[in-house]
Amino acid sequence: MTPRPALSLAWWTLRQTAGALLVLLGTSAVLYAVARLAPHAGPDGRVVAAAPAGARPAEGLPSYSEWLAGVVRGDLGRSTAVQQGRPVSDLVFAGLRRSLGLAAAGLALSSLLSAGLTLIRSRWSDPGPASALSAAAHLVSALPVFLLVYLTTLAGNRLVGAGIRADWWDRPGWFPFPSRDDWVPWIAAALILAVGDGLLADLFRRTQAEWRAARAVEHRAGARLLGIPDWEVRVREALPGLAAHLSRRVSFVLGSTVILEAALGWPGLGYLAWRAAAQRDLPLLLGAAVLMAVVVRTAGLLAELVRRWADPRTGGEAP
Amino acid sequence: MGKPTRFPRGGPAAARLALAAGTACLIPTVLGAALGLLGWLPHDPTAFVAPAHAPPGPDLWLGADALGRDLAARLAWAAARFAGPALLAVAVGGVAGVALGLAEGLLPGPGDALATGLAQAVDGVPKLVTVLLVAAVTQSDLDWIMAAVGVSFAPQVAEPIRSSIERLRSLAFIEAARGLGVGPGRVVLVHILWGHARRVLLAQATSLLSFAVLAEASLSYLGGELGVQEPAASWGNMLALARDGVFRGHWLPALAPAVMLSLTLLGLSLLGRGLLEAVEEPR
Repeated sequence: MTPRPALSLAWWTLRQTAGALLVLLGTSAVLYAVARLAPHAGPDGRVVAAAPAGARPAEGLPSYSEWLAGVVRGDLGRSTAVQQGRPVSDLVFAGLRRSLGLAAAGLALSSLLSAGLTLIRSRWSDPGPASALSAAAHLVSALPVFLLVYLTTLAGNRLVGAGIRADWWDRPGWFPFPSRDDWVPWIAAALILAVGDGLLADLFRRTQAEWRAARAVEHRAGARLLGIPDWEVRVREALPGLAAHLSRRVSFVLGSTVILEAALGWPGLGYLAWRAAAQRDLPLLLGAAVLMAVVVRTAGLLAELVRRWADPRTGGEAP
Repeated sequence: MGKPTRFPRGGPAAARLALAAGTACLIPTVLGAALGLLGWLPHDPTAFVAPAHAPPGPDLWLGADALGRDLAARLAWAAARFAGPALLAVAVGGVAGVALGLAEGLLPGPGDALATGLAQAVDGVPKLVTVLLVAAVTQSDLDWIMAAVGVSFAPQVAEPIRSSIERLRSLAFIEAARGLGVGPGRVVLVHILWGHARRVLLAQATSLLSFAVLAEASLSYLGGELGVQEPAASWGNMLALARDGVFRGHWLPALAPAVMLSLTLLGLSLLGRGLLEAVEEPR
């Protein structure tokens, strides 16, 4: 077999970053094209294939080159409706700080739950309980995020209300409307993100597949002879695939964050995106979308780094 | 090293069970959609036929909603009026995804790079944000929203096709087919897409359908004139209308659309899982 050429970490990072920037350029073009070229609703509300330029609701959007130059400078334009006149970059960066933690916590919780469920399932030789566990994960995970938000708020309010009436506890500061600044609602929200919209079922399935594959690798016996713990071999074998899959789910979790924040009325990037769409504030919506695309691409780069660390063969690293 | 454990894995029996359970979960939705499409509904779903929150009875199977409309008829109508846009999403996603996957797998150098770049560019934005963007510019036209769902899913559909082509094109039976004079189009359509990728494609179609249902219901539930608007019915806007009634003890108008939605999503998830388990090679 011909050995792959060695790549230094710096050269590899440069190449990956250049690739990511190219993809982001493509993403920005796709987003702008959708905002500009998609059929727009005419004055009577009916969608028409081509509306006169002045009648388009893309007001506030300059030409692509001007918009892109602004994006590169960090100037995403000004909000036309949600917070009229305010710089979009100020709004979206403030929102990103709030949403990123929630999305990351949701993804981390989902990964932990999947790993735990996989370990439990791998210890059961009886397929009955194992299948029941899998079915339960699928059942809960089938619920959409907005429905879980509704059910959790309903159940939480009933429970807390009953506790207050029975003098079990004092009225919490966030009751009856959950606030994102209190840790109980925040953790509940992260858990909803971790479970809902099918995320848990998907990660559970993928973790099982990777763990199963890690058991079957040929070099396990050799590593055992070299004194490397079995769990380390399996984790390193499963990690690249899992990291790649998790990075692909970042985009999905950010979408779920939009729904969660909109349903709870929590300020954040998702809430801004939803309000921008509802009020046809295209500069703000495009700004939020571009920022999310940057987050997704960064997650992809991190996954590549994990892959390179866990399996040096794939990175073309020098022996 | 610890004692090796036997990992219970899916097999044909698990795949069959998942397929059967998924199909069973989808029966109420399919039945409702069929009744709605055929017009066999007990009442006009937009007509006020009873007092608000009327209880279930022989005339109103599930009772009435907060505005006195037949709940069962609205549930079925919501399924029926979503059938067309959902199929549109699957068609757009299927055609765009297959074209992208074929381009990635078959085109030489620059063509492959362009197709891969396009797939990554589309895949780089959260699907729901693309949907929001299209909902904003088209003022919530459901057909265009579903077309956006299809396009945003295209890279996901393309991936198994590309990997199938990469895996199969150097195999002996493809070489043999070529040697026998079978054209490249037939090799791709019959031997690769139909012969080896059809179940994965079907599984992707269930994921796409599931996301389409989720996106429509979420937008309709949240309101903001982004989803289906009253008086048209959607499980999402039915739940939004009924959510406050729960505090006064009117559970059914909220429970019914929630159950239908959850059953549909669970059914699609199980179908997808069953199809994927059926094609997974034993390790």
